[in-house]
Amino acid sequence: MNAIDLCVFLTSFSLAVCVFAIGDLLRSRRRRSIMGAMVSLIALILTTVVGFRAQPDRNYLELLLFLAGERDFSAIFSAGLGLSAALLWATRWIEPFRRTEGYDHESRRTMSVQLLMATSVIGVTVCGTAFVWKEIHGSKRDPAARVHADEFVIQKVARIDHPPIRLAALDSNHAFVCYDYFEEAGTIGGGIVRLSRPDAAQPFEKRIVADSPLLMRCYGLALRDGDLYVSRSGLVGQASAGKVRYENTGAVTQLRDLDRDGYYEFMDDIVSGLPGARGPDTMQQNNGICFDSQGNLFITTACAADRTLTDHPWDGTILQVPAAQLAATNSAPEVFARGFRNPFGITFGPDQQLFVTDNDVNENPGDELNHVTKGSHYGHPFVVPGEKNVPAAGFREPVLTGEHEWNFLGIAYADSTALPDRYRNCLYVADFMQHAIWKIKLVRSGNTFSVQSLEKFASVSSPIDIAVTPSGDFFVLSRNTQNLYRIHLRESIQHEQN
Amino acid sequence: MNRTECIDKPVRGWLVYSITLPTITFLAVAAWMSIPPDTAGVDVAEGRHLFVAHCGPCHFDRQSMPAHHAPNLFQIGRTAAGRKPNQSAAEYLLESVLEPDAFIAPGGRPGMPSGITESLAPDQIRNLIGYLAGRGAIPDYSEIAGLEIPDRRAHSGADPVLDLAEITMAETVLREKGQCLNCHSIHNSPEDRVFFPPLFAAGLTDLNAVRESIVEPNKSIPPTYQSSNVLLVDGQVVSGCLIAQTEDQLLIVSRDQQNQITLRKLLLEEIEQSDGVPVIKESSQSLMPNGYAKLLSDQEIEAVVKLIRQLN
Repeated sequence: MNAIDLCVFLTSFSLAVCVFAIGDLLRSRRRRSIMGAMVSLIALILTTVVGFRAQPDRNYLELLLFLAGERDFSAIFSAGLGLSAALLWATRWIEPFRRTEGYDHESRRTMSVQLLMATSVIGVTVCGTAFVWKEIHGSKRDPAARVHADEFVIQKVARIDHPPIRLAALDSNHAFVCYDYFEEAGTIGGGIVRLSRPDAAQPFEKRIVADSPLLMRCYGLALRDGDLYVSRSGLVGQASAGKVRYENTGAVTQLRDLDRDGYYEFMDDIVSGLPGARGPDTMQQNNGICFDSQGNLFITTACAADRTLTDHPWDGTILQVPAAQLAATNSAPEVFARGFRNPFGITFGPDQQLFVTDNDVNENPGDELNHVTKGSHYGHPFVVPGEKNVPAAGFREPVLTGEHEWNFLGIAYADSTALPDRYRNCLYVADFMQHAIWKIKLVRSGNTFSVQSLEKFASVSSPIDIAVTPSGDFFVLSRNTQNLYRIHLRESIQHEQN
Repeated sequence: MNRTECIDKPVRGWLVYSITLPTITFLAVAAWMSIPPDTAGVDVAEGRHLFVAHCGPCHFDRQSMPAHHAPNLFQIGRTAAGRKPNQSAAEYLLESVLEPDAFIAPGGRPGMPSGITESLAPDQIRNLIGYLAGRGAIPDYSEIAGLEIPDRRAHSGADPVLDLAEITMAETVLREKGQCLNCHSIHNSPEDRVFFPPLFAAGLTDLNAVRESIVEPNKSIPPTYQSSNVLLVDGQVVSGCLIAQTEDQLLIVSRDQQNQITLRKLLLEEIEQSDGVPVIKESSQSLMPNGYAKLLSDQEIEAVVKLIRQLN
């Protein structure tokens, strides 16, 4: 139970007790019932004030409505616990036994009181047990995932056993998810799990197809010609006579299933020497990867610091590795574009142009959707959207800048002819903080694009990545709930499209 | 009135009242709590924005975030109130922002740049103080509104246009032509300040001083990085920056014969002594090479100064 759960419990308990106490007062008109009603009113006021203090940056009422709207697991059981505990006060509503009436009335009253008490005990036990279950099994909050477009439905595919990071989809029946773990005992590593089903009528099955310490911090995943490609990193520092340096631990690793047994046992770094994770800010590293139609590889690499240069000239860049070099032992990436902070999602969009999401400085309202062209500079660390108002020249503007607490991560481009026009040729961006998938329609505007429309396509808890299949199915990965969802057209719409 | 009488009395709508009264109470308290406090004109939202832009590179203001650059300010509104006797939280915060080295908090460390708010108007600094004072405490906004804050903007010039071509040129100088990053760190953690002043936040001081330190590095050397000459018993003189001295050895940063920066450990028995004291003389020579005025063009030097100005 965290602070929010406790607040929900207190609010629900005090509200219910208040209802029962005031009801008792109004019904019985007994002076001694005034005490219970007054105390419960004061308790209700106090718990509401405490609720507002629980999250200083968020209105408590809005938070309660949000939790209710999301059918939040913890909030529901917190409210249930409070209500169940308060039920004992409802026994005062049961009409007292009158001497003028017979034994049957007394028996009915006793029965009603016993029933209420039993309900209270069962409610407290069930809701309390649910919390214990949650703690033991690590169940995550699972707010309602829903799609806002009537033509689509959303289904949960599977729950990933470790916090997932990236997603790649082969078709409607096969998807891959990479994850990493840092166990309490100190074990670290990462892996890839495959979600697949023989046909649309069967449920998806999970199978781990790679798991290795080498795959820790696997922040990029791509599929090509039956092989998997992972953008990964370590974190190695050296201190030598007062000088701290970080090794270039970033790499793109090819994983192959040589013996076709479903497990990708062959690993080969096709690109190495990327900056990877490094100090001082170790959250960022090389992230998303994608191939263009010619087989050239594009890699996003992040900066290890804000508002300053970084140690490695490849930090904060989009790197390109020509297809011809990928087969070479030491392929040398070229800087395709620079000036990014934490480019995470990467995809080819309309007109086969490259698009990248970029997380801006912490807590700054400025996550970006960028149209990436060769040789361009996108501002970081010199130009921060909405800050300092530095007059600048020569930097390329983002196509879209997010509002406060928007957090653009995974990105996918849907051009499947199976999709209705309204949903075709659009970019879909996972917004981690807004728990949303944005549908973004772009139109050409000179040598770049402008946003024609921006709509919320789906609501999913903490979406971190999204992928689209050639048949127009969407896979969405939720970081906090560890669920993989599939969004697809309703059968009736599919028939119309066909 | 006995119990039987009271139950026999018809009570109309008791159920409705018993539900609506608590609900209305709850909503009324919620509405009351939602009313923003009277901040006496202090714009806390702008203060938060300024914090992110000007303080955020080093300070976090959220619980459980790291403090490896600078202290986490999650509870600063509360802790500031008890830092110095006879000084309120607002006064302490203002002093910390304007004159960071005036008082080093217990467990803190010096190094916060003093010019962090020189581009801000007094009201903006007031808003920043208003935001900080609210971290972990309920601020006295009327006091914050009445703070006397000097306008220091006259000392800083207008923002020059940040041109990509110039920035690229400057970065090339820092990384390649000038090899500046071989010695100077671009970060500002304590471990980045051991040997040489970091470039991060250097631009918050007088830009003429930055320019001068490139062109004439010996003209004004910060005390922390003052060079010394150490006379050895074999007659050699080791020049460099003395960073530590223990009972039996000295740690000195110097240039070797290949002009590379090295950390040397000199045992006390290797050092010439006078009356039992090692012979160490202050030097007027900086460890920074003296030839940048010739190596770099005026345009390159100006570009580097402009870039350093942005690193904060």
